[in-house]
Amino acid sequence: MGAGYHGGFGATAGSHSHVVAADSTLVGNGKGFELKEAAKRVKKEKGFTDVAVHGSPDSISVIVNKNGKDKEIVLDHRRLAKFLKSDKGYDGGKIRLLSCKTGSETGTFAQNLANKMGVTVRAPSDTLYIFPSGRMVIGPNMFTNTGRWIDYHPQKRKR
Amino acid sequence: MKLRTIGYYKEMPHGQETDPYMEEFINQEDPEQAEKICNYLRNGSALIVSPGETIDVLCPEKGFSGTATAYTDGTWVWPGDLAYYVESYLLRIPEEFRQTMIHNNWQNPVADVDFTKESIEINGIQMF
Repeated sequence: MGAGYHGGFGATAGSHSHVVAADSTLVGNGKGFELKEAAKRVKKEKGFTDVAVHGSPDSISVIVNKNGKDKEIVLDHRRLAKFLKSDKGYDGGKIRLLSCKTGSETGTFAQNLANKMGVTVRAPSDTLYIFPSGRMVIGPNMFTNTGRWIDYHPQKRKR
Repeated sequence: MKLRTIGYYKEMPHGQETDPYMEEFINQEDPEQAEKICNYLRNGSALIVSPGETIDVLCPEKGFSGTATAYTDGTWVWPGDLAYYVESYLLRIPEEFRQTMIHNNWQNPVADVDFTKESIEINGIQMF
């Protein structure tokens, strides 16, 4: 599988999640359009499918805009796994989460997703910033690149 | 394009030590102008996109406050959660920022700019 792009829970008022030709994008409604566009500029990594979505150490979220106000809908790794498994844009293989803090060592999201999907999940340890050039910074702010990408491999369930 | 950050506060996760404390400016914005300010902030151009949500730092129980995405109007760069604090707490924006909004007739003058083709400097640092 080539390095694809998959992501951007976000924009398009009133839309439902859907797949966009060529890349497959899960789009909500709200700020996701910006993320979707930014994710397209990121340099692809061979063997990984990029999944761009607003995130945190333990969950991801879709930002929907209702009556001019952004509202967050929180999703767990199971919901994302379910979406990915049914999405034409993802045909297996490693996943890179373009999603803030999902690889945080204090969190669980990336590891849980790796376990659920049975594939390696690469995720940022801190807040992710995507520049217009596609350059990415991982850190507490856009000036401070102190974070890193962490690979989470599927683990067998302990008995 | 030379830009400066504004509307970043120490309490914010994306704020820095050199930024001011937000608490000093709470309940000081003109309620009649707050809506215009929020519209301006929410219609800025996304410059550096951050795919993460931020939480209300003054009252975490309230939850979602926006994102750390950096928006611009071609003069200033502000965070994606600034509008939330203006709306929810009447956070007073810096006067020089207000003057820029008035000068721009409350419209984002760089709404159609393609930043992938621009050289951008923020606070004197060449970003891209």
